[in-house]
Amino acid sequence: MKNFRKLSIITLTSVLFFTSCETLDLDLTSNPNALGPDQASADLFINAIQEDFAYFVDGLGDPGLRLTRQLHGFFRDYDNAYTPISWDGVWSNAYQGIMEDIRLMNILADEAGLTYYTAMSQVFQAYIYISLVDYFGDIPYTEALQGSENLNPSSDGGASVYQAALGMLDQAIANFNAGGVPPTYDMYYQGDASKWIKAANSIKKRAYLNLGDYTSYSSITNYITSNSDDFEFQWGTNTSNPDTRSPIYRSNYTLNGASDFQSNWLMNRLMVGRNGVRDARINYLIYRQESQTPGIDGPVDETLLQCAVPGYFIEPHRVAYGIYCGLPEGYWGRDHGDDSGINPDQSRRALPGIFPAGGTYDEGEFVPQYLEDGSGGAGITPVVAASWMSFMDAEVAVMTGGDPTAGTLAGIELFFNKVDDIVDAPVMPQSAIDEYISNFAADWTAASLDGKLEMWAEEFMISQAGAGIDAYNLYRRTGYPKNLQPTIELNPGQFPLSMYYPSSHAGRNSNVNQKTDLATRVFWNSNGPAVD
Amino acid sequence: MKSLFRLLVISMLVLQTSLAQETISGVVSDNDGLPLPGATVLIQGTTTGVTTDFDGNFSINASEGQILEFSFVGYETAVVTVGSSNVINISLSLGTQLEEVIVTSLGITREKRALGYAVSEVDNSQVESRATGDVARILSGKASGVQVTDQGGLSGSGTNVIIRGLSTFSASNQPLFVVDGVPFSSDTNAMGGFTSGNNGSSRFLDLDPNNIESVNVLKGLAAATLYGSQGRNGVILITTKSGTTASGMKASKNEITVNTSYFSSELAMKPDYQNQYGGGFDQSFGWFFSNWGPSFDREGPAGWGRQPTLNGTLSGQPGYVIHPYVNNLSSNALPKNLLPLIGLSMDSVYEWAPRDSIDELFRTGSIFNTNVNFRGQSSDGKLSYNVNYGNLDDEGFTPNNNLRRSSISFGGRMALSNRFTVNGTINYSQTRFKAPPIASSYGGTAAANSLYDVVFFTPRQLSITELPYANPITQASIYYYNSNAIQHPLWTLNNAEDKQNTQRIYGGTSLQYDFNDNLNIQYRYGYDVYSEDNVSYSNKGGQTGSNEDKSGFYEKWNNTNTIFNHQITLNGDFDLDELWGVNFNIGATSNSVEYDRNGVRSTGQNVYGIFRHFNFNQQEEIETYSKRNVTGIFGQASFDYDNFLYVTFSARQDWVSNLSEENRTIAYPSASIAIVPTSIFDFGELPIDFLKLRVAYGTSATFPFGYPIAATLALDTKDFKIGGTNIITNSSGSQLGNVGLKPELLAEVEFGLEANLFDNRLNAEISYYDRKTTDLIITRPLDPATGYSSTRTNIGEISSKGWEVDLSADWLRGEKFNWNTSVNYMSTQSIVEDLGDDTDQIVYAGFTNLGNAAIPGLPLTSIIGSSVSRDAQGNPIVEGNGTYATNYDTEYKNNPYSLIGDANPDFIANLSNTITYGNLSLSFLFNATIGGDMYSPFNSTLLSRGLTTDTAGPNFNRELAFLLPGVLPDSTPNNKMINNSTFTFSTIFYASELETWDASVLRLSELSLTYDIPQKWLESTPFGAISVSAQGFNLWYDAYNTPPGSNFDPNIAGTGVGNGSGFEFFNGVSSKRYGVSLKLTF
Repeated sequence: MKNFRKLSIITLTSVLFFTSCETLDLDLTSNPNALGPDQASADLFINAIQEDFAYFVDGLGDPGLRLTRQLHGFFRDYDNAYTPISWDGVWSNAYQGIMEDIRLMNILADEAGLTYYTAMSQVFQAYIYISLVDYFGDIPYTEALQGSENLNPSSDGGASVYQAALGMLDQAIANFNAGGVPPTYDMYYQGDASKWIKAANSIKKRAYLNLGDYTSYSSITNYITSNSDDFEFQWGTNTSNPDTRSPIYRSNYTLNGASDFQSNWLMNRLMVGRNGVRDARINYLIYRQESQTPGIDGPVDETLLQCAVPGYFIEPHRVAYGIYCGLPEGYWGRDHGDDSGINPDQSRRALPGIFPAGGTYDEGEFVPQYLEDGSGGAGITPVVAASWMSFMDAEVAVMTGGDPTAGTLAGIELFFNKVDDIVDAPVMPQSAIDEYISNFAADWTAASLDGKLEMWAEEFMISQAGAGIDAYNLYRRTGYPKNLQPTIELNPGQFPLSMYYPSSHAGRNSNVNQKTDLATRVFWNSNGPAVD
Repeated sequence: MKSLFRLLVISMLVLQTSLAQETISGVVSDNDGLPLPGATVLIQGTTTGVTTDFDGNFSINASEGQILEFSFVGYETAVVTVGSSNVINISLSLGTQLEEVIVTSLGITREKRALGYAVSEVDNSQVESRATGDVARILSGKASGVQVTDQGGLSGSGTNVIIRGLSTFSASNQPLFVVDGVPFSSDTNAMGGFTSGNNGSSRFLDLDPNNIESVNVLKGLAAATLYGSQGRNGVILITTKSGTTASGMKASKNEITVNTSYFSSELAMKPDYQNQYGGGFDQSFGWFFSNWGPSFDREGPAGWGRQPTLNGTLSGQPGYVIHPYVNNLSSNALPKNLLPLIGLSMDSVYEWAPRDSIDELFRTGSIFNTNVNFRGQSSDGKLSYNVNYGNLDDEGFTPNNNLRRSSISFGGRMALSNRFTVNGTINYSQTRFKAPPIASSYGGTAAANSLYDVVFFTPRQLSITELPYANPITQASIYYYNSNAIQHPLWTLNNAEDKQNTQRIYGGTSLQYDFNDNLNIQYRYGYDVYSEDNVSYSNKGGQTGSNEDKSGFYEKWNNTNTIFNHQITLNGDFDLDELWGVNFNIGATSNSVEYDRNGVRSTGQNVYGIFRHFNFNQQEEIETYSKRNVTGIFGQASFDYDNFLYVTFSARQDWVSNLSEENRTIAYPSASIAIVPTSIFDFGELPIDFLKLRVAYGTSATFPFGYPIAATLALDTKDFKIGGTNIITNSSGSQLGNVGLKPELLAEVEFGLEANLFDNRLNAEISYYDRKTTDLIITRPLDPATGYSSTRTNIGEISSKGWEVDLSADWLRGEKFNWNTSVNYMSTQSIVEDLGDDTDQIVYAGFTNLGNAAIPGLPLTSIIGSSVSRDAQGNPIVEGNGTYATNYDTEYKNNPYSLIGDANPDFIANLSNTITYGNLSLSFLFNATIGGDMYSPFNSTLLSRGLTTDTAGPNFNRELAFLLPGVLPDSTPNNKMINNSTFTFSTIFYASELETWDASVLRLSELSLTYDIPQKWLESTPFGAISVSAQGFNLWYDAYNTPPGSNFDPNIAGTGVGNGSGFEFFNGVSSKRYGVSLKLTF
């Protein structure tokens, strides 16, 4: 019995020990490493949404610039230029990042009567939906953002998504007119609802232009017509924690030089200028780290630029085009589709300039640019600019039998002024702008309609610096400019008339099948011109 | 169990000698005359008995006519009637019934013959005195079914252990370590992912292998059911010397064992470099990464005499180039006025000659290992103790890589007179690891600091060690490359470091009460607490990584992991009748694991060289916490019938704390049957000594980690900045919480055959298993259009099948000459049977476009990556520039060629031989890992950049033109001639498919020669035994399907410890080790 007593004491103490150690607590389901959804704030959501929207515009625009030769396209054939996986970031930012945040924020905004917040989010959402249709075609809308209710959202036809987006823009305008308080940080218009309304209307006009609905296009009159109304995101100069610099600056103004190559087509267009006068914008858009380009106008250096070495084989179709390998005077870029290995030229090749990246204005110093040089990245990401609206007006004029001259010249002037407005750069004399426009006008008058459209499209393209979505749309919608540089590869395959669906969409959603090729046109482009 | 109890009873009664008439003495030996230490001599019908000493001697007081019973585990019991002689020498014959006792789950000992599942045993002689302090690496090749991959050759780097292949891909596949009955954390808390360095040890490194008594590996689910969910990946059951104080000791003896060893460690994977051509492209010189430049000869079409850069035109000295630091002044971080400070001037030149600095950069490391063990037992056998002290100082071949470990452990056991037995162990270890950071690289500069990235493809004319590495004023890195984009390896070595200092206490206490000889109750409390202090830093002035990295960073954080484990069991063992016996164990357990990470990352260093947070501009938190409790109840009952039939049933039910209440629990049963025909049937003339057939069905569960059902909201206090004010943001969590998440169920059927043949000279054990994992807990990637990027859910099915074969042959079993050969073989394959209807492909390790992918119908170990574009007939397509068109689409459904390999080897076989002649013993372990692919930038870079003997000389005349096999886009055969660098660089580097090789390897894993000093020499010394051995590890290997000049060793886990396999990213060059060890017993 003595043993039994001992045993019971031991059993008892051990059982107590057992329970006292919290090892039996079986309800540890909430995550202490994050907040819960009920701790959200509409103000903090709208901050995230605005910043993420700028990344969306930049991320989707960059391929548009590269496909239309406004930046160097680092690919040999189109089929592998932009793979499904390469779209995952943009897609995820659009839906999971921005639009889910918008959905959650609007619940809070509705409760608190924050109509201004809702209106902003409707503008963002409409722009995103329209742009995703422009790139991918059919996309989820009605079944999107339902979480566990629907893990395989079906796509809606592009036309119906466009209509829904136009509806959102109308609601946005109504909500802006409701006079709600703006958030502490309105990163686009600093609390000016009237400018937001212009932006919403401009986005509608962009959509109507794609749709070919010129009547509706023309019926909207309150839109962005002045550079001060431009819909754009302003970046900062903080290098880290957080990095607030323009994405273009980030990857090109580093301790070890550039990562992008500038487009030979674009630099040539600016060098040639109009009527033999170089385009004054070149010093804003491009910065040269060297005064000469090896093998072009400088000593041959095959360690830096092989294709400029005499005897280097260059395909006849590129020779026939006239611009190949490089341009003189340190306008050292790359041809469309040149994917060869990287030479140690990061501190020598041409860089993006002060506009719109917030880099350095080219004063002909030829100094390698590194981290924090120039404007330190305080550039912009344009979403909709007054100059583009003007170029669109010109296009509508052509399509409705009118004269595109006024719109085109106004667009050029607006963009010249835009480039010139950069704080850290020298002011361009008005005479330079006037000279360019008069030279342009002289060529313009002499040109046929086709020639005019080529010139108009070239200017529209140049104004796309730092953007790209409208460049890609313009090219597919009109087929202009027709004289873009061909790819290095003689047969680069089908130019993407719409993109492959993102891997995260086609590979994870049983209601979506990947496209078999890049020949599918988006709904508004079904009778579009051939492009390559 | 019964025999164990008998032994136990006997040993307790050893000294209760009866009144005796005479002293009988003698030697107990085996068939071959070898003495049997520890054999039992019992006077039949009494409780009087003794055990034999080390030399098999015994003496016992007995009277004439009494019957002495001689028994020893594994041998047939013999009886001798005491006659007139005082000396009885007896030899016992090996039992036809092997009574081998084996430790199974929860420390339950069973006869091996009674087990219905496979268990591998590794004893201490195979573990002690090794050149590495990592128990998992030591186990490599010693147990079938266990696959061990080194993360790399750094001393103290992590180790990947997989038993019976992968059974899932979202949860860990690493086995459970149990030390002395207590779950032991084997986590690898890497310092960053593999792209950012991934240094960090696997925490089983805290165990001193020299303190290990035995290792049992429970491979299947039936074997590990009682461990519950934790045992699903197999169990490595380690018994330390401290934990075995009770058994294996001779009565009343104190013993001191000293083990000491010294090894050298060298870089094994040094490529065979060519010395004909230097850096450049197209036979012209350039300060490039690549080595396709001119010849080091003056003459010839590729001779340097033709190059203005080399023939003196530019430098003024033929055969010399302008010094790279002068050449790059405009773009290098080094201003002109600082040249004199590093011994250069504007006229400095650099000789065009091959240099080899790999040997100068790396060193011969040394490994000192000392272990002292004290153990003893009271004269009545009721009190025993063990004290073990170990010290390891392992200096790797990589400079600044060092592993120091000190450990001390105490174990004790006391049998109280009142039927209580108390057992306890306590272990303390301190492990200090440091190494330069080694981030992954594709053959260019790494994304983060990495000592190895640019070293192995340094152009041949350059010496890493001769070129100054720092700007003498700013201390920033400088190197030969224009734009200074390459960080000098010596800068990395002198300015960046990862350190991990771990203190750990673990052990347990158990209390057992014996109701009687048949029934006892046991309570066991186990604890394991480690505190890992991590430091990772880099001075400002680096050229690698993000701007923050280059501005200098200092990260310091602590990981504290606490495991508490309680367990209570009731154990019984009864004979139901003459033939039927039963033993059972029922119990309950609770396990709690808490992980807390806390620290600070600082960036923006002010004063060079000072690593304190105050010296940095910005601070960010490093913070993670998780806690998970699992409680379970379990039971096991085993029935045995006449030594012929053994049937075991077991079941466990668990409750877990991180799932919703309705899905929190799961029950899983197991059953096994073992039949021993040799106990019943007479096999006549057949040379069959023992035969066993077994079949088992086992189940287990996987519980998710973390907090999978919680919905979260992110908060970023520094997302953006406007006018100096930080912008704070909220954003929705990317993971959709799933309250419906359930545990994952695994089920396995296992068949086995065990046989001893030809007088037990040949032993064979063969197992086949078929495992199915259903309701897989996977992180299912979601279409972001749902609003989320992933959710943890239960879908899909994976099946794993495999064979394990262990063969052992005693070719010679003589008085002096013995020769044993054993072979173990494993083949396993895991196939993804299903991923649900919504998902085509899940990449679970590596990068999304270059990683291990789960794809229905394909092996789980599949590798996807970019591939060569092919036409409808499968011909590679050559583009206008003569190189292949690349297909970057890595969705298998769209592009079947994106499947670029399968990392799983066809089989792994290990052959070991031990030849003993008298006191001399020679043994070796030879490994063959056949099949299995590996993506390897090490190989592709050495080829693409023209460094090794594969790219010059008789193997490859680089001055010719080349033609890739394939067709042009118009389907005509390719006719585009290309040069050497286009053929290699512009081809291999452009498709991951071409960077993937078959990683089959043959390896001499271990070689040792041991000499035991003869006993008679030691008689007048205090030593009980002395043995000396010379050993070598990884002395030779040949990955015969990889480029021979690379000397590639595929024993690398490039994606770190985890589920990824088949990748190497310049982050794990291997070592070879050799040395001597000495073992002394007092």
